[in-house]
Amino acid sequence: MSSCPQILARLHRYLDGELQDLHAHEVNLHVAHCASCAAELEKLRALHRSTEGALRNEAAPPEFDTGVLQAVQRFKEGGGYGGGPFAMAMRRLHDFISSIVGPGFARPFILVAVGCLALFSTYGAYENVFHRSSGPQTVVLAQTTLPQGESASLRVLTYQDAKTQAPLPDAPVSIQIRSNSAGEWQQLYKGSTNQWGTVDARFQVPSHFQGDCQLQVLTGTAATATVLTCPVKVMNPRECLELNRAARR
Amino acid sequence: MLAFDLQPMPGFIDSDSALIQDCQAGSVEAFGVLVSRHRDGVYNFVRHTIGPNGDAQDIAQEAFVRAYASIHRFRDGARFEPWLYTIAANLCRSHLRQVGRRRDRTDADQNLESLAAPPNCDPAYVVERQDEHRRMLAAIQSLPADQRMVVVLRHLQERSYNQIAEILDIPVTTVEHRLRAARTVLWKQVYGEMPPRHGRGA
Repeated sequence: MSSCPQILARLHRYLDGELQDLHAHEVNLHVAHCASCAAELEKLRALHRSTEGALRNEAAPPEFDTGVLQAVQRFKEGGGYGGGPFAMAMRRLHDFISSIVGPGFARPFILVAVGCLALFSTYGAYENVFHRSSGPQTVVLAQTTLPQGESASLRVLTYQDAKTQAPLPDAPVSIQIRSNSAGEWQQLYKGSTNQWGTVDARFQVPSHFQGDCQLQVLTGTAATATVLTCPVKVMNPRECLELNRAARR
Repeated sequence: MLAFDLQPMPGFIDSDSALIQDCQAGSVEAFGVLVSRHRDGVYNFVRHTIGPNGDAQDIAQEAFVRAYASIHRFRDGARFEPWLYTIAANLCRSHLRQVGRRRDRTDADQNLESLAAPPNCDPAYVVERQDEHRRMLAAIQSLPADQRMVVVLRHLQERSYNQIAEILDIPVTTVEHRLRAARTVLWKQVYGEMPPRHGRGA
C-alpha cells in the first residue's frame, strides 16, 4: 500500500490519465480509505474541471479555409517551388548584390566571393558549412578535427529564413557523431539557440571514436528541421593541436 | 487522385498521410481537406495561447500556409498533426515575443486582483460561482506562454503528455513540470489560497 505522500504526488497524473493501471488502482484503493487524500483529489479534480470549463472550443471563422487556400494558391502560382529553394536564395542574393555593385557586376562579384570562401574553407582550421533552404537557414562553424576524449566546441547560427536573415531564437539544436557512414549516432550535445539565434555548443568527444567520422547538426523542430552533416576527423589531442597550429601558420 | 465530389465512407476516410502525398504531388484540394480537418483545433489552440487581443485567425491561417510551403520536406511516415501544431506553437511564441514588450502586464495583474476570490474562501463554493470560468481564463492568460501552451493542449485538446512533448519538442518530464507549475498558479489565482499538498512528480 502506498503512503499518502506517494499518492499525493500522483494525483495530477491520475487525473490526467497518465498513470499506469496498477498505480491508478493504488490511488483508487488509497482514496477509498484515506479521507485526507480523497479531499485533496476532489480539490484537484475541481481545478481540472474548472480549467477545462474555462477553455472553450469555438468554430473557426467561416472564411478561414478560403483565406488559407487563396494564400496557398498564391504561393503555388508565385513559383513557391520554382527552381528550388537554392535557386530562389541565389536569385535573392543576386538581386541584393546587383543593388549594391550595379547590375552588370553582380555575377563576377558572387563568383569571386565564392572563390574566396572556398579558399578560406580549404586552408583554414575552421570550416564554414553553408546550407540554404526556403525556410530556416543554419550556418555551422566547426572544427574539422576533433580531439579524442577531450572537449570541443562549435557554433551554430540559425536564421528564420534566408530572406529576412532574422535570427531563430529558442531553436532546438542537437549534435551527434558516428563513425564514418556506419554505426549508431551518438548524441554529443542538446540545447537551443539563444535570443540571437546562436548556440555555442561545447561537448566532450567520446574516446572510442577515432579517425574519419561524421558530425551531424540538427536544428529546429520537426516543422523546421535542418540537418547538416559534415566529415570530421577524431584525432589524438596532441596531433590535433599540432595540426591546428600548422593550419594557422 | 482523390475523388473530392464523393463523401468518404466511415472507415475509408483518407488518412493525413495519403492527403499529404497528394499535396506533395501538387494538389491544393487535398490540402483543403487537411485544413477543414484541423482548422478548429489549430484555431482554438492559437486563440487560447495568444489571448483575447491577438489575431488568432491570422496566426492559425499562417500555420497552414507555412505547412503547405514546406510540405515537400515532410517525411514519409511522420504524423501531420503534431507537425502542424509545432508550426502553430512556434508562430504563437514568435507573436508573443513581439507583443510581449508592448503588453501592459500591470493591467492583467489588476484584472486578476479585482477578480480574485476573497482569501480563505471555501473552494467548493467558489467552484459554483458563475464568474469562476472568467477568472480561470484570466489566470490562464496570465501564465507564461510555455505553461499556457501546455495547459491548453492538455485541457482544451485533452492531449497526453507524450503528444504535448512531441508538439512542443520538449521532454515529457518538462511537460509535467510545466503543468504542475501552471496549476499551482491557477489554484492561487482562482481560489485565492495555497494549493493542495500535491507533492512533486512520482
